[in-house]
Amino acid sequence: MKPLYKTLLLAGSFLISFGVDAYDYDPLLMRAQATMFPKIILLDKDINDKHDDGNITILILHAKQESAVAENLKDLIVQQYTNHLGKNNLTVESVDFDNFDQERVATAYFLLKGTKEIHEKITTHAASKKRLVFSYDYKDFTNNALISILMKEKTYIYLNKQAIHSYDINFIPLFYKIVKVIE
Amino acid sequence: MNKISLSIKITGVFAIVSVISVLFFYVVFSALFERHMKQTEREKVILIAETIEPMIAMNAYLGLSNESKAISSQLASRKYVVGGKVIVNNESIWNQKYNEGMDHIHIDYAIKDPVTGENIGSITIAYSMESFNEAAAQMKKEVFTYLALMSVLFLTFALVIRYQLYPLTLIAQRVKSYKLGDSLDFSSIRMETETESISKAFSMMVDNIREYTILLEQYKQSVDESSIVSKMDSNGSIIYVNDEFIRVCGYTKDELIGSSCELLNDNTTNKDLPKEIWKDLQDKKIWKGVLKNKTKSGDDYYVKSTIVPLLDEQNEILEFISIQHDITQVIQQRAQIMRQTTDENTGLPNRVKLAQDASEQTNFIFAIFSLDNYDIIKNYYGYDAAFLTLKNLAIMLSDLLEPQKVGVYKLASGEFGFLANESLDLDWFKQICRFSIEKTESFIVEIEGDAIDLHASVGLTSSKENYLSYSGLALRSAKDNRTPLVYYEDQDNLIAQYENNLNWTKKVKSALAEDRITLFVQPLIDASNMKVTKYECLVRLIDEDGKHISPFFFLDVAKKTNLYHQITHRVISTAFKVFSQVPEKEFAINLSAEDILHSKTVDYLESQILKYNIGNRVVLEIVESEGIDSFKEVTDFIIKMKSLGCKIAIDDFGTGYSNFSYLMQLKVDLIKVDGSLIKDIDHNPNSQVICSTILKFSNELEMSTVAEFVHSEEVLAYVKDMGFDYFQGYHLGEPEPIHNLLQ
Repeated sequence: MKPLYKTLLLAGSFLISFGVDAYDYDPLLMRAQATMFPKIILLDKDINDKHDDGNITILILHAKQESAVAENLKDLIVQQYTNHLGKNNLTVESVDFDNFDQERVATAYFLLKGTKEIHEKITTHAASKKRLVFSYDYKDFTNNALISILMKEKTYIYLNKQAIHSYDINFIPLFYKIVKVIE
Repeated sequence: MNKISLSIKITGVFAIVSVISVLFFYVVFSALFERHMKQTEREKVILIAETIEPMIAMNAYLGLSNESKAISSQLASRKYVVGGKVIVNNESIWNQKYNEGMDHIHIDYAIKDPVTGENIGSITIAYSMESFNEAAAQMKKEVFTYLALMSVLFLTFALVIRYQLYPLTLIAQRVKSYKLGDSLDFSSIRMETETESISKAFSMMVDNIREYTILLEQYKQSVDESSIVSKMDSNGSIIYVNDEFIRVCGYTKDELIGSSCELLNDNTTNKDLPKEIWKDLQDKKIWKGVLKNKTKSGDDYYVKSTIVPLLDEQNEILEFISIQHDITQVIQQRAQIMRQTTDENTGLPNRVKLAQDASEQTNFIFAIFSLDNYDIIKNYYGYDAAFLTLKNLAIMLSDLLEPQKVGVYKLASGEFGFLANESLDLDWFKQICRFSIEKTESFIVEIEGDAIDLHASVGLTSSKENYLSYSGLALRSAKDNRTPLVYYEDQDNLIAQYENNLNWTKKVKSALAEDRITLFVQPLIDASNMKVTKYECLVRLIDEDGKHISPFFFLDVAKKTNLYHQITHRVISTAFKVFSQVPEKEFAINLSAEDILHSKTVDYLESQILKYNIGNRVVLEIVESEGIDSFKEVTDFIIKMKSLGCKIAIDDFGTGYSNFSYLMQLKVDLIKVDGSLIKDIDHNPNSQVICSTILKFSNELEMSTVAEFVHSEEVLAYVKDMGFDYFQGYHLGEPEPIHNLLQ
C-alpha cells in the first residue's frame, strides 16, 4: 500500500505542476527514474573519485515553476534510498536553473524540462567534471544529457552515444549490455 | 597339418594389427570424445548461464524484474534446454519442470549483484545430452564404416600379396623336389625383381652345392686312397669299410660289414681302452689315439685313429666315422730307435740318447758315475753277476735321481752318466752326486751268497764341449786321489795330468817295445844269521837316456791302460828266468789287486811256476794298502798259489784295511811291516807299540815278519831287538839290477 500511496501522491503533485506549466511528467516514469538513476551512479567505475567522503549528491535541476515536481522527485529518491546509496550517504538537492551554481559540483545531475541553452550549460559543466547527467526526457539528449529512461511496453535505459565521449565516464561493462544506445 | 602361407600370415598380421589399432583408437577416442563432448556440453550450458546472468543481474539491480523474467524465459526457447529455474532475490522469476530421468546435465549458476558482487539469486539449467548422443552415435557409425572398408582393403591386400608371393611357392616346390645332379629351372615362373633374386640365389646355391659335392667326392676319394676308413652305426657295428681297410686287416668286406668294431681290437695291451673310446664317443667327443689291432692272420698292426661321432639335427648320434693311418712301420722304427738308444741290460737310455739329450741343453752339468769295483765283480763273479749288479744299481739310481730332475744314462762298463736338468745349479747337483755315492756304498749286492760292497767315484763337468772327456778326466782324478767326487774346473791341472799320463803311457809303451822294462832286486836279511836269503823284485823303467825310473812315476799310469799287465808279465818272466838260475834264494814279486783279479796274469804266473818248478822259492807280495776288499777272489788266489808251493806276503802291512782276523783267513806266510812304522821306530813309541802287537800276533800265527825301510844302524838294532824275522832297507842293501845276481 505504501508504494501505491507514494505514487498517487507524486501523480497528484505532477498534475498540479502540469496544470501550471502544461508539461505532463509521467509519474510512473518519474518513479522509475527515481529508482534507477541513483543505482546507475554506482555503475560508474570511478564513482569513488566523484563523491565527497562517501557523500553522494544528486542535484535535481528544474525550471523555477517546477520546484514542486523537483521536490516530489527528491522525496521519491529519499524515500526510496533513505539517505543511503550502497555504502555511501545519499543527499538529494534541488535547485532551479537560475540558481545553478557552477562552483558547486554534485555527484550527478538530474535535468527536468528546460531550455536548450540552460541544459547545455549544465551538461557542459557536468561533462567537464565527468559527472553524470540524467534527463527526464530522452529527447534532451540533443542538449547533451547522458542518460534517460523511457517506459513503453518495457522499460528502456537510453545512453547518449554522442555525449558519452565528452563525459569520459566508464560504466561497468554489464551496464552497456542492457542500455539502448541512442545516436 | 598344412602350414599357413606367408601371404595369409602377412595379411592376417596386418589385419589383426589394424583392427586392434582401430578398436584401440576407437575406445581411446570414444572415451576422450565422451569426456570432451560432455565437457563441451557443460561449457555450453555454462555459457548460456554466463550470458544471461549479467543481464538478469543488471536488470534485477536496476529493478527491472520484468526484463529479468523476459531474459530468463528465453531459456525455454534454447534447443536442448529441457527445464530449470531462475531465482532472484528469493523470487522465482522462471521455473520449468523437466523429467529427471532423462539423459541430461544440470548446472547451477549464481546471480551476483553487479555492484556489490553478492549472490542475489541463481540460475538452474537442465540440458539434454541428446546432442552428445547423436554425435557419439554418428562417430560409432563412422568407425564401423571405416572398419568395413578396411576389411575390404585387407582382403584385397591379401589377394595382392598372395599373387605377388605365389612365385615363391613355385620356387619352393622346385627347390624341394631338386635332386643332386638335376638342373634347377625357374624359367616358367613369373619373376619379379625379388623373386628373380631369390631364384638366382638358389641357382647359385645349387651350383655351389654341386661344386662342394664334387669336392667332397674328391676328398672322400683322397681319404679312401690315403687312409683306412670305416663307419660304424650307433651300436658300433661296422657299416662301411674302404679298400685300404680291407687290405690292411685282411678280412673280407662281407666278414667286416655287420661285425662289431671290436673284431680287430688287440686287448692284450690295455683292456680298458675300448671302453674308454666308447665312452668318449657316447659323450659325442672326437676320439684320437693310436690303436693296436690284429689282422685276420693274427699279426699286430698299429693305426693312428680319429673317430668322429656324426650327429643329426637333434644332436643325436647317427653313426661314427673312423679315419686311420697305418703307423706300424713308424712304431717299429721307434722301437728300433728305442733299442738303439737304450741299454739292454739296465733299460736306461744309453750313450746315444745322452748325446741327443745333451745337444738340446744349454745350461749343462754332467757327471760320470763309476762303480769302482765293477771289474772285480765282473772278473770274479762273471758277466751275469756284473750285469745284475748294474741292473739293480740302475734301478736304485733312477729312483734316486729322476725325481731330482737328473737323467740317468748307462755308459760303458761300470759307468753311468748323470745329466742335470737345466733348472739345477751346480752345487745342488754336486750334492745329489755325493748322495748317490753314499747310497751306492750302503747298497749291498748279494751274489752267490756273498754280500758285496760297492764303491763309486764321480767326475763332474759343466762344459758341454767334450763333456765326456772332461768328466772322464775328473773321474780319473777322483779315482787317483781316492776322492769320491771331482769337479772338472782346474782345467789346466787336469789337462797337465792327462798329458803327463799320456806321456808316461807312451814311455811305458816304447819301453815295453824296446825291452827297457827291467828288474832290480833288494835283499832281505835273515835275522837269525844276518844273511841274504830272499830278494824283493822291483820293477824299473830304463828311459831313453839310460836312467832308471822308479815305478812311482809310471805304474799308476800303466794301470789305466792294459800296459800294466804287460809290465807284470815282464816282471814275472824276468824274475822266474833269473831266479831259476840263482839257486836257494827266494824271490818276492809284488802283485796288485788288478793282477790277482786278472785271470791272464794269474794263468801266466801259474804257467811260469810250473815251467821253472821253483814255486817253493816264490814269495807273492800282495799290497795291503790297495785294499783287498775282493776278499773271496784274493782268498781263492792265495789257496791256489800256496798249492803250488808259493809263499804269500802282505806288503805295506799297517796301512790298509787289514786286521788280524783277516790275516788269519788269508793264511799268509809273511808280514812286511810298512816302512812308515819302521823308519822312526827307534824313537817313536806309537810305532813301537804297533809293531810289538804285530810281532806278538804274527808269532802266535806262525807268520814271519819283515821290517821294511831299515835305513840306519839304530833302526836295525831296534828291530833286531824286537824280534823281526827279516830286515830290508837301504842300510842293509840298496836295490840293484837283477842281472847282477847272475854275475
